[in-house]
Amino acid sequence: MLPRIEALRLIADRLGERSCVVSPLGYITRDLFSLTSGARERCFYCMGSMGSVVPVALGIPLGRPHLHVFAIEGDGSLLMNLGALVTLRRYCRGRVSLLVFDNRCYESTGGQPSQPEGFKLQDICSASGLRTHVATEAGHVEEFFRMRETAPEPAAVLVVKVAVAPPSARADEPPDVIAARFSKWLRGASPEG
Amino acid sequence: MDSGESRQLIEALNLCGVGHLIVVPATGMELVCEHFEARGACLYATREEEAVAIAAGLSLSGERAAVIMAQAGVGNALNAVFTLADAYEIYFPILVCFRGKEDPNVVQRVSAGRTHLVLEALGCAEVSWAVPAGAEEFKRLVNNRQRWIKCRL
Repeated sequence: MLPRIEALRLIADRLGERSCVVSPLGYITRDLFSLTSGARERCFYCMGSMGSVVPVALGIPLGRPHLHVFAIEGDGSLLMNLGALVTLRRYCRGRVSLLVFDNRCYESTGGQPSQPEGFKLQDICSASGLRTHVATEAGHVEEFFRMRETAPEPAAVLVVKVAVAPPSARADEPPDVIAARFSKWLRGASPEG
Repeated sequence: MDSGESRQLIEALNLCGVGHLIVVPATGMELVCEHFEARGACLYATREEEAVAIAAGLSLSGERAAVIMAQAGVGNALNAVFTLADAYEIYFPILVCFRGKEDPNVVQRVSAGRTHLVLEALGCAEVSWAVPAGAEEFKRLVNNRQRWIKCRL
């Protein structure tokens, strides 16, 4: 298993001129916010609407197809909206890489279990027709990123097995500021990179 | 919605520059969906929260989107509308198809009665597609960033 913050650092380090990230409410966004002070304009930090990261990420390249969108979800949030996998497969244009952080629990509400014994989230993703990989160490995440640079599929999934860990401080920006800055960057991002 | 009313709504959406329609299938919207499908601009979502979030992503990227849902789906949509679209001030219109007291399904009549009150509390506007000025009225509402717009079927 990977420490959550380490997995997020790998994503933050990957953000370039033609990529952006959408993150889910809870500890993931808190940690990502702490790691991305130099790339705020490329980050859409969701602080509500559990289960909405995948559809938000799907909508972005419909308008800006040259961008590579990293969509980060937690296992609990993904389970709240499994239909999103089907919609992603059906309509994804451009490039969306879905990274599901799987700690098998609702960590921020006290660690309640999110899945039955033996349940494999990657099987659900794979059954949706999305190419799906599993990461248990940093090298697997880096390999997934390398593969996504040239992969023909518009969408693919990496289920990252992460450990439970205390979170960073809350994001201290108003949501309208986050959205306006992100939207400005999206609209200005050049197809040429 | 008959064909004349559907044409009015299509005209209204075009007048507002709506590039993508995000739909949770609702009775009465077949012709409108077909029109957008023909240009590859109609996406069917699996539920209402998802439709709202897709429209949010599109809007952030600079595309104008509109969401269409049945009145029975309004409750499903509220969390995404409140904590994503409203909280982040991401604008797109949501058209709610309403059959009201005439709905042949008795359960939907109960739902419509309750949802009507919810929409009223949310400041929902209504456009009549039976009059020629419907498209212009819709455009005025969209220019004023009206979120909820009721379409009576």
